Amino acid sequence: MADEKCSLRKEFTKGLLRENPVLRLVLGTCPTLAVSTSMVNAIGMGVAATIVLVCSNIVISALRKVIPGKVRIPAYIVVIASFVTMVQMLVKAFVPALDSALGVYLPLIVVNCIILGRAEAFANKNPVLASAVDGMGMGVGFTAALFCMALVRELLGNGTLFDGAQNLLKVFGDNVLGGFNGVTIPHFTPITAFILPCGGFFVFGVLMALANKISDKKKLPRAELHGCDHCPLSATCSKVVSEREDKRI
Amino acid sequence: MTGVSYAAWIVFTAILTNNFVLCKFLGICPFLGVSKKVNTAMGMSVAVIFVMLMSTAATWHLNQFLESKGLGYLQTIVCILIIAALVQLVEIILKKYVKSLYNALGIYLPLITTNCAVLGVVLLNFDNGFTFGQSLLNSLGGGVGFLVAMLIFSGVRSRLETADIPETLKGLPATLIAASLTSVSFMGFAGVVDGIFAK
Amino acid sequence: MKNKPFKEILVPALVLFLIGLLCTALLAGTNLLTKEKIAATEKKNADEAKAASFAAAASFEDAETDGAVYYKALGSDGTLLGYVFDVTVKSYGGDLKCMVGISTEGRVVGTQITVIDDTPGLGMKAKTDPNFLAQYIDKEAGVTVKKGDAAGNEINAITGATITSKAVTQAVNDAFDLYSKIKDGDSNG
Repeated sequence: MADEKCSLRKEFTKGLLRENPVLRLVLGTCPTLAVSTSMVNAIGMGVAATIVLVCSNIVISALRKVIPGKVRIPAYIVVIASFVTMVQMLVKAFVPALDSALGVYLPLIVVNCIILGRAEAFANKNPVLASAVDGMGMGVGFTAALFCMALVRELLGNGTLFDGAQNLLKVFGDNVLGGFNGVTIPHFTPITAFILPCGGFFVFGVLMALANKISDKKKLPRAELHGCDHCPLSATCSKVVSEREDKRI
Repeated sequence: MTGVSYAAWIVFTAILTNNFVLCKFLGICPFLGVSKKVNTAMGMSVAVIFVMLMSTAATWHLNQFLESKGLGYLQTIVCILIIAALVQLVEIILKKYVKSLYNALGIYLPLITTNCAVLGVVLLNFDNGFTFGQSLLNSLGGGVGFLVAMLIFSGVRSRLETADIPETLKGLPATLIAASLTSVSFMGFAGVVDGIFAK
Repeated sequence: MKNKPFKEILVPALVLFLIGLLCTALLAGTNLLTKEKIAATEKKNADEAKAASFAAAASFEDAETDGAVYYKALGSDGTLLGYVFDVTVKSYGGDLKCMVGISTEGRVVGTQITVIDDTPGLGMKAKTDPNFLAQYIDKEAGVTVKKGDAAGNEINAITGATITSKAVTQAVNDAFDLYSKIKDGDSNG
């Protein structure tokens, strides 16, 4: 019993640091760069992706013995796309301001490699509870990385913190937290470049350097993009498969 | 702004001011992953243009049908499945009948299925309410924009190989900061497009 | 031997089909549950924008001219105070939608941006910075954009977002085109 709890905790915490999807596995870079212009958007995106991740992990893990190996990728895509569309409809209905802020990036959670990656790497091999916890950990890790990016970019690029917080808080009713709608840093001229696309790449680069520094200290390998090797779809990709076959021969 | 000038405006904004990679952050994975050599960058980009055009052609009428039946909410799921199936089909056909083209582009095709630039361009076309022709032009522009960004960036990266970079920044951080500077250069195009098409 | 193709081809296809069917059913259910709420939210937002672009009006009445929808702004006693136009123009990041309120004297009463997809911190300021939209109040047809020191019928562009400023101005001028069409129609009939 204690063992089980311990391992579940491990599944959860690995997504935060050791296997942080953004900073260590370099997955989901597109939304990380695109929606980190404001902290409120980053949290909204992170929560939406986490919900999809947990739900799809649970369903895929529950169906892991039913889905034939041959059609598993299309089956995963169908499951993930359904959850994404459901989340999208709920956001449209209850948090319309977030829907217009995230725009096309909300339906694009479908092709966020973190989700398909976890389905392929974890959920189809592990029991339901562990998969749910894994999804939760990865989702929180993704949200944390997004949050860090957004904190720096919004603070330096717009001179605000939690700007437009009521857009999210509206879900819980009007004027929650005393109508808190973000703070503006006084006497500070924002460096607009930080919320422009170039600022996104720059902040991500610096954050990555920081993650590398920590990795070096802990003697872990650095986060690196190796062409297709890290891609969660590599199992089905003919290029990688043929390369593997070449190696075998 | 009508007819030809509007068409030109769509293509130019998609290539320059709203560049998919450097301004909209779509397709970052191949941008960082496959841009090390100029010829692989070229192959990947041509495959992306091809798939973007094809999936736009395949999904536009279908979306029209879904919308007319009040099934707009199935858009995402239908589009991603069509794109995935289409890419697989093209790969199989190329492999069997057009071997030379397969050798040049085929290996990149499966990578593109879950490339957000492809699904992104399809969904953006719907959002903007483009006609069939305009959708194709926007997809072409988006694809060419991807090609331009990839080619420029692969050039930048080949210089990076020989540069003396601080230990901590080596690898991905240096690549990202180089991408940041490439992105700055694309910001300048806003005025250019505005200047050409201003009334 | 006979069972092999069945097991290898038909079973996976069937499972995939069932998953697809189930997911579609789930989506249809969610759609049914959220459809009314989404429509209500959209209508509420549109009504709020309408009211904000013509604060003096007590009620609005839908109307149409040449296929373009607009709203008549009516006072509490039912007199016509002016019109609100819902205009769409192209901006830096795609479509930009605007509600423009114009009084019967032919002056802008208020402008509200409903849809904008521009760069945060630059073009987005058009929506978030109240001082920008306030410039349009009391302007007449043929508004032009200037970079600083605007006078008369000119407005100051947002620093670094000339394209967005021009797009909003274009929307206001489009609204004036519709306005003059309605005016002509009214005086003729």
